[in-house]
Amino acid sequence: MMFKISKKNFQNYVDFLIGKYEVWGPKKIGSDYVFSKLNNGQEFEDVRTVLSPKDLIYPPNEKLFEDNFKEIIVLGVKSCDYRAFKMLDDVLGIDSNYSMRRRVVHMFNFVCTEPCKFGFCTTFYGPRLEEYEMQFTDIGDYYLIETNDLRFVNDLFEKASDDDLKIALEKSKNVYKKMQKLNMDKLSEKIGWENPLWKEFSQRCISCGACNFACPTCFCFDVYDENDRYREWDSCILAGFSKLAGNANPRPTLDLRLRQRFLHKLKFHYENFNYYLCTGCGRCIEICPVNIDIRDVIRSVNP
Amino acid sequence: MEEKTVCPYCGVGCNVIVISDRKRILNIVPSKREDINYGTLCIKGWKGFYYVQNDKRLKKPLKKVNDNFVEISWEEAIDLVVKNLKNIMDKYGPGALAFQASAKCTNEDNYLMQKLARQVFHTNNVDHCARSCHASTIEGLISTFGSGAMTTSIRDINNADLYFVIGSNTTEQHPIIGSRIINNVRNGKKLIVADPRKIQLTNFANIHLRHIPGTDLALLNSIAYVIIDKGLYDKKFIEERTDGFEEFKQIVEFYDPDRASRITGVEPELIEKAAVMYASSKSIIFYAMGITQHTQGTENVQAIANLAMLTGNVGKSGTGVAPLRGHNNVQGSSDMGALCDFLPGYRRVYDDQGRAIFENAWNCKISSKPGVSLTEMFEYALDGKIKGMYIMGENPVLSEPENDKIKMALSKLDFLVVQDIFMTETAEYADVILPAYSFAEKLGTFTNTERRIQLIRPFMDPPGNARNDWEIFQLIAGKMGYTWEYKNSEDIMNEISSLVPQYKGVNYKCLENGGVQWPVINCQSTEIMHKEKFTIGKGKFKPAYWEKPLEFYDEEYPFILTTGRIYYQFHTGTMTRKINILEREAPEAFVEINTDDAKSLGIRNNEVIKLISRHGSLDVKARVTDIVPRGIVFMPFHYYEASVNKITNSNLDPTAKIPELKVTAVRIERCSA
Repeated sequence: MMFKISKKNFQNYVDFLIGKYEVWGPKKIGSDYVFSKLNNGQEFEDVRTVLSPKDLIYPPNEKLFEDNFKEIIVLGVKSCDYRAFKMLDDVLGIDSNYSMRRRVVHMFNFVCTEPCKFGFCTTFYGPRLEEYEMQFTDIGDYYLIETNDLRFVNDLFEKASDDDLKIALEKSKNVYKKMQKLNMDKLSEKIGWENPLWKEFSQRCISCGACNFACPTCFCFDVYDENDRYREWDSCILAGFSKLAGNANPRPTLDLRLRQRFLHKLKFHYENFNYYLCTGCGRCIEICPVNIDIRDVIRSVNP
Repeated sequence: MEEKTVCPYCGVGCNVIVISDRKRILNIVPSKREDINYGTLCIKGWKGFYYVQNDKRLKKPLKKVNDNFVEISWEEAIDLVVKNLKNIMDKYGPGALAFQASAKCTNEDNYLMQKLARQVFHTNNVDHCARSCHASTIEGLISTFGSGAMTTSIRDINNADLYFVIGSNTTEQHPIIGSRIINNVRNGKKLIVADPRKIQLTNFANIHLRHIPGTDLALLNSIAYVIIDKGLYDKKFIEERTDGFEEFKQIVEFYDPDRASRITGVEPELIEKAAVMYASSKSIIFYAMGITQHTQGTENVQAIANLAMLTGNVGKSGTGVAPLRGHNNVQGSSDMGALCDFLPGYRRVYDDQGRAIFENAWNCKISSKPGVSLTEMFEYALDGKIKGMYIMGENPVLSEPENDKIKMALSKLDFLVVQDIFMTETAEYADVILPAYSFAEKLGTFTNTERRIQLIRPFMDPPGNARNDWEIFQLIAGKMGYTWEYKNSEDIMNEISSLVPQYKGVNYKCLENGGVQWPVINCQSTEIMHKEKFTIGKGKFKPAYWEKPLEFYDEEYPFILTTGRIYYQFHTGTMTRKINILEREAPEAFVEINTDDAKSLGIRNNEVIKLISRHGSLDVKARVTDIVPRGIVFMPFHYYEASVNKITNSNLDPTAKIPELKVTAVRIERCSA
């Protein structure tokens, strides 16, 4: 179903949602944008945040065996980040905490109409999604709203026409025009075990783990006890990630761990699930302190 | 809710936004501000904050009863502290008390602790861990430039053409500055690294000088020799901006590369190459503990300042001297006069004019005699000259040299108060333990390595009955009959900014948009210091001859042990060892030993070996590696299980009183042999 809402009314709509639910969205803190709880419609800005909202369904650090799931609505989710949850579902879907939150956290994705600096989403799915809860596209004075879920439809919504949809399609095409599409042709088959990039990256990688923490599709965790049982995001860049009993380690050096990260995304996951574990959001590129770039890996195979 | 705050680990001062529900941290987001952390963090930033919600946080005041700690009320705790400190002061005089402030705490906390020591307990015996890290920087840079801090800013790193890194493992200890250096070098800038170890930065170095620990001064003097010999020095700068060049020239003349090579173990050609490269570029020198923790620490720092003046590499964009500060607020706690020889704003206690300012402001008499320094406090306690000690947020039992002596000193005290967020190895010795806020519960300021005063904001509810450090001091002062009337930390900052010239006019409002770098003028930053003239007026060359460290390798102790920190742990581990992933990555102590040395001693990787120095011995796992050269072993000091400071020496730099933690002579034995 298709609706539209004027930008003026959109703020009122957010206020309406805040009246009924806990609503999160991009919020400006100093000069940065982060996902946080919105207090009113004015606080919302449709801006790409530093991190994806992965933490709202899969927290960086959580107490286990605790039933504490509240219904929340997340506005301003970028389509790349939204698409990532579909991938996480294949891996974490059987996890009770993840699947419970997946049911009660509603993510409304906002289609990009301009490319972002490091993104390469057009290589994969692009800014418009086929599957969504509520998809918003900025069409000038209005947002076009696509949804099959009538729970969040409101009196402020107006009927949208095919012309509105045409504008939305046109706007998202702008991203395709301006963004470089990478060549993924048979990448999972062609990408080799050996690649001079692993060594080169390992010279400068400072093992911060940010590529994993910022990635909307990374899902690895570690479990620890501290009175209660907790789990936290883990990073395959760290030596301890693959350390075995007796300090044996199948990936003892940083180059091998970097290889694991890239091959998992571009080969192993593809072989198991038939899609690359990457949405082209570009966050790992942007957040790396020393400019390690997954696009360089792809280009090294398919120039 | 979300709050913008500053990472509590190293001195880079990365900005983060913490999302929390005030009971637990929900997420941590790096700020994208270009002038500090450009949207990045190291692993300690990403993972290291969670200690604040650890169940082991101290929640109630404790007193020791028959070797056990029992919970008491705040009233009783404050009564006990005041009664005992006052008794000691009345009986033995103020000199029998000693106070240790903390580089982990805010400027406001540190200011009030030294005020408590000086105004309420009439003693200059107040000091903190800057004594063991950058005391030689304060002395060395004040005597040459007039100001003991980084001359340039983090952002300005991008404007230099060459980086000379000496005695700093930057990618591990200041990872975000290390990354900035790497990015610039990958873009064509040059890099010289002087470090006995093959640290990560050497992957990108044009020149790696592997000098023997404790020979830095000979190396730096020799670089100056070459620059003068080849006529590469900045004559105009020297003439217009500096004094003492002739004397400097005479002393460094002694250090031709051949002679320096015999001292340092570095090939003469490499010294020459490095000197030419440094002198012909717009350069910043970075240094840390590898320079400062020596008996000639002050002279080492002065030698760095000499090099910068010699080549005119100071006071303009893309140049400078950058001491990298190891704690979030070690710059600030020094600025606040939490030092036994300096009042706030680096006024010497024997400077009558400077003292008068504080005597008037605090309505008290301040002794013109410097107090007892941190390292000496324990000697004094052993000798029975110091009877009462008050330690805030420090763990000297692990961080100071010759641990066993520290423990004996603490047990000998009549009364010890420890104010901390966790039970520590030091707190075990306390008579009273006071539970304090962590950075997560505080509003206040930290000053980072580039002199930037930044606001930290509370994002967690305090645990149990813990209290803000400064409020505890106010309670104690009140009980002692001094009415301080600070309603909040901003009141304290307002007092600081009226008395400390570098912080002049600073208030929380002008810090709201990212903080300001001191010296502050009308709420505006000074990004680059010493532009027109040095703080001291004309820069002073301070040359010195190299002297052999008091302990050096010999037949009986053929190895040099050097110590340091590693990436995943921080200091004595009070915080990082409670973080699952950080502890997983680096769970135990080790000693790095060169492959060839290991082979000749028959030592295998991971084998437990014995390190023996003149001060003690310890057993530790060997890590056989080529990171260290032959003859040198390296050990981190984070681990109580194998505390390297059990066997380090406490020989002091006579000026800065910093211990020579970087050079201890040891011998190695196999445990099974």
